[in-house]
Amino acid sequence: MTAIYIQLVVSGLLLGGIYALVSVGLTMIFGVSRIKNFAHGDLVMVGMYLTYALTTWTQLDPYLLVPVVTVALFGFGLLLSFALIRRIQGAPQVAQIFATVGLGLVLQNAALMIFGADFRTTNSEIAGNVLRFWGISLPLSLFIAFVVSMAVIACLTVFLRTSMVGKAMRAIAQDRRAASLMSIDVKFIDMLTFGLGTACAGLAGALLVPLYPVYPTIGANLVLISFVVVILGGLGSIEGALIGGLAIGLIETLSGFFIGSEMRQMAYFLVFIAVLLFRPAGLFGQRGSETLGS
Amino acid sequence: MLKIEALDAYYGEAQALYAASLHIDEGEVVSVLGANGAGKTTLINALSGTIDRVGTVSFDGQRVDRLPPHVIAARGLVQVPEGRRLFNFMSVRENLELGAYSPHARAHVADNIDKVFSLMPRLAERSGQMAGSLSGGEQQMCAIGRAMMAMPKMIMFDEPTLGLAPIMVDMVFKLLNDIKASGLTILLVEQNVKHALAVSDRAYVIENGRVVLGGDAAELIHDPQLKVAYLGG
Repeated sequence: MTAIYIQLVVSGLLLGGIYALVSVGLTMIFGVSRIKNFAHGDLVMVGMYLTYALTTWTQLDPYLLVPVVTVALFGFGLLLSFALIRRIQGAPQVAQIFATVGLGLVLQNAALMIFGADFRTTNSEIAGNVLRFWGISLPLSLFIAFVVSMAVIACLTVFLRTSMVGKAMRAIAQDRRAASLMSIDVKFIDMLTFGLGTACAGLAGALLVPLYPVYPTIGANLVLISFVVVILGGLGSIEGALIGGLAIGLIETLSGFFIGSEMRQMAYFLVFIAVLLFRPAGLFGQRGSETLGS
Repeated sequence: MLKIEALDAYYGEAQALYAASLHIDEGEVVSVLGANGAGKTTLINALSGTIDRVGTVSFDGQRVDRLPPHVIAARGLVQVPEGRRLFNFMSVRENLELGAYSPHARAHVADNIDKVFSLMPRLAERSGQMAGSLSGGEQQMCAIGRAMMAMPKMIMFDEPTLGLAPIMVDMVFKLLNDIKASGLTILLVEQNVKHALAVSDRAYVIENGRVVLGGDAAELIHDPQLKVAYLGG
């Protein structure tokens, strides 16, 4: 019987790892550029379809294409930032919401036109394997997604702590004008941040392909979850996104088993509301940090 | 070093500086005096490029009035902003490193941190501490050190003693004298007119966004108009 609980906890945490990766991209973009990117989930969707298309076309295993998709989405992020996002930097909230929601709709409908509304799946030799230990069994694909997510989050953390570009990102997050006085090109760093955030979304998408079918509106679920994760953990906090992601994955899996899978969203929204009641800045948020950059 | 001709500056639609013309020679310390809201901070921000401005500003022989803030700072025209504006959730050392973000300063980070620490030993003691946890005087030291890390040709100080205890005010003016002695060009905006004139070679007075008076600091301190307005008669 305990095996079931271990199974639930482990698979909840593994799922949460992917949520964390998606959310890290969102929280970085918000932290540095104060952009609330409602198209973030749709960028995961783009990563999933790109992986799907490349796999179908090249007949390669999707895991071999993960680096390609990540780099491609980084480039796509730079392009979006240049064409759209930089124009809404510092704009009223409503303009930001309209622009990013609109971007999401464009991406969804582009996917609908190109791939249709059907659920698409790919086969991976690697993903077919099942890990068995402690009396539990897990799909290898979930395990790989978790390990890669954690490794990427660790690298991002080190990057933000130690590299000059990373420090510049943190500086802009705290005081945009002061950062420009430090001869930091804030617009360039904005673009780079959006590229990195989009790369995180694309990477998560590529890792999800062997796990879930892809369809044009899958992003809507993901963006909701990642906003909950990001606000739960504290806007702009990488650690917060990590802990928040793991927590939501765990809550979703446990409540799905004990209460019923139709109640999963209600369970994590209840936790979400409770956290906001007692810690409005989120678990790891610095009070006021979201307004310091104005 | 710095020559400003007919400079207008705006906050959005509102004009806050009208046809300001002034100049600062290399190695000079020049004060800009005026009441609250007269346009002193506006002048500094217009020079740094953080607000909209129209006019001619040449710095070190080159036009800088259309450049973005990060390029102006990299050219060596650096400001210590009002209210210090440190990166509060980063350590003192990280704040100093960020001061040296431009490529030419980045190559000398280690040397310059040593220089800043020897000028302000208190910062060395606090180097691992979050900037936001420092006292007001220490924060001002950190902001000054951060500006010096950029290896500037000229530093603009905006109200460096605002809100500081008297002992810290003396410390900041001692620092200003040290920096002056090192040969750097300084533009100083300061409420404390007597102190400011004592450290300055020349001064300008701004009223309602216009430069109304300029001259040698030693003469201005006896100017009857200035005495009435800022020195309490």
